[in-house]
Amino acid sequence: MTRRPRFSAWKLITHGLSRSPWPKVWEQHELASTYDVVIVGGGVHGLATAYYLARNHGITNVAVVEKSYIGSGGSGRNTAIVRSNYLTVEGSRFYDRSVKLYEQLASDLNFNVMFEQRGHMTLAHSDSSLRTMRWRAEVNKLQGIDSAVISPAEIKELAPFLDTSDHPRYPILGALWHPPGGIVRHDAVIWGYARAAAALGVHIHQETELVGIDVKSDRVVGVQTSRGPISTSTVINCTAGWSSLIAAMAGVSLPITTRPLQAAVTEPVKLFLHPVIVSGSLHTYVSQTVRGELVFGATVDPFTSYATRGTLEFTTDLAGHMLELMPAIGNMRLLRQWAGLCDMTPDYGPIIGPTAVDGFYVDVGWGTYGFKAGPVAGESVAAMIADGKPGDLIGPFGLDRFERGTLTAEKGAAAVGH
Amino acid sequence: MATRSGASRTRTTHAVSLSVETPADSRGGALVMLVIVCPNCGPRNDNEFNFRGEVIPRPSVDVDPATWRRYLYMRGNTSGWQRERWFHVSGCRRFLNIERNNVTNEIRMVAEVGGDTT
Repeated sequence: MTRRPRFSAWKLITHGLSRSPWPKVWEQHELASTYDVVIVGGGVHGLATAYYLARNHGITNVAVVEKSYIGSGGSGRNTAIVRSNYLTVEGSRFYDRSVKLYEQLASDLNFNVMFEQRGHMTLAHSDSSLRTMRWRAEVNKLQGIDSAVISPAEIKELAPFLDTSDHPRYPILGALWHPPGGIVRHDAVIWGYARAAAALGVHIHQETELVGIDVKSDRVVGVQTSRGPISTSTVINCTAGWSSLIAAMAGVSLPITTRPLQAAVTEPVKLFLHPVIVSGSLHTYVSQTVRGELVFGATVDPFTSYATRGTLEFTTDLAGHMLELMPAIGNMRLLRQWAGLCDMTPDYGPIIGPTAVDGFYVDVGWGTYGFKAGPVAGESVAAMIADGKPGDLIGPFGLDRFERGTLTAEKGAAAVGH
Repeated sequence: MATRSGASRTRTTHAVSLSVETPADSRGGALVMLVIVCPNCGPRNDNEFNFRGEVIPRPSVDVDPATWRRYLYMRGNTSGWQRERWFHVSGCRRFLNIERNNVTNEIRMVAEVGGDTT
């Protein structure tokens, strides 16, 4: 195990002056023949799980297998929004823990994840969405989460570029204002977790694709990868997009459909938009990065697909809706458009927990909100592996809820209407 | 795409009708406009249709609740060719069975429900 060099302002100055090379952030390892735990997917969920397994529970003989490079899937494609103003008690409690972990993450990982709590504003364009927001605000307040309904005048003060007049087709009637929400640099979260986990002894295997899971009498005994077999008794499926295909390798079927979700980014301009703006009715959300680019996100595409490309009408709709919210950005140009794969579940809740195959766990079905849950999912899944059973926070999100008919109801608080 | 989005505030789809882009690299940034050749209405853009998901055989109504819920919620979600159901909501308002490759978005079969084997 290599000692992790600490990053600090002093290090920055001395390295800057001496121009000495920075040490490697983590080491590549040969694939070992045996691991206690194999985590499939090197995104925020997989790496956070590995980190908390090692740090909180002392389980360090862990491999993270990633078919491409770390953060190449949903973790590098999302719009990096963090919030906890969910509709259900289970949801808001869970995400509140995630916000708390994000607040501590930079010092915890000794890596600047650039978490900025600029406030998160969900616009209401109709009486019914205003009612849902009042409901959400009250659920949130009971959980101790800072969340309130605000008027168009208050909205104008927080985000002067929004068109709060009665001219648009869907005028802004109010908003749910959530001050602890904000944006984070998603790549930094990935790198921070990878670096911290590797320093504790976790092996991160990039360019290593899972090709099979060996199951003997309903028990996991090992996995097959593109770089060779690994024998292990515990496999955690932390993938997004391909989670059904990974689960099928163990003979487990999931209630998941895979849909692309589109996002786009504009050219950078001077900072003018402080909070994160979300509009469910217009299927869009926007935030401005510290570089000055506007990052737009849309809802999932209207049909399932494994192609990380979106449909043209969604991009044109997205641009039109953004102009309706902020007519002043009409002359800005889009730089890029991309799509990530989202695992949609029937009740818009994630699926975390054991499966019918002993030793095969899932942490999947994160829909359009997986990134903001990364830290708490990692912490909870690690605790579940160590204790052998799911804890209170993730109890309601087990796979068996679909057979028992005890679905969660988080649809109303997914970032955008589905 | 470098578009001056301020130029037009109305939704347009004319520029891309009848062209399905299927570049070999599925990671590429090209956009998709799916064209479905409806047996009743001819080639139409996907936004005229309502996607209803993969075709799953329906069990008889007297199965136990767990089996029924598996039918309701569990999905194969395969990558590649998939048999799925669409509803031509803005056209003939008929249900269609479609075989589509959900990686390349190629379509190899469109038939009205009842018109083929299912």
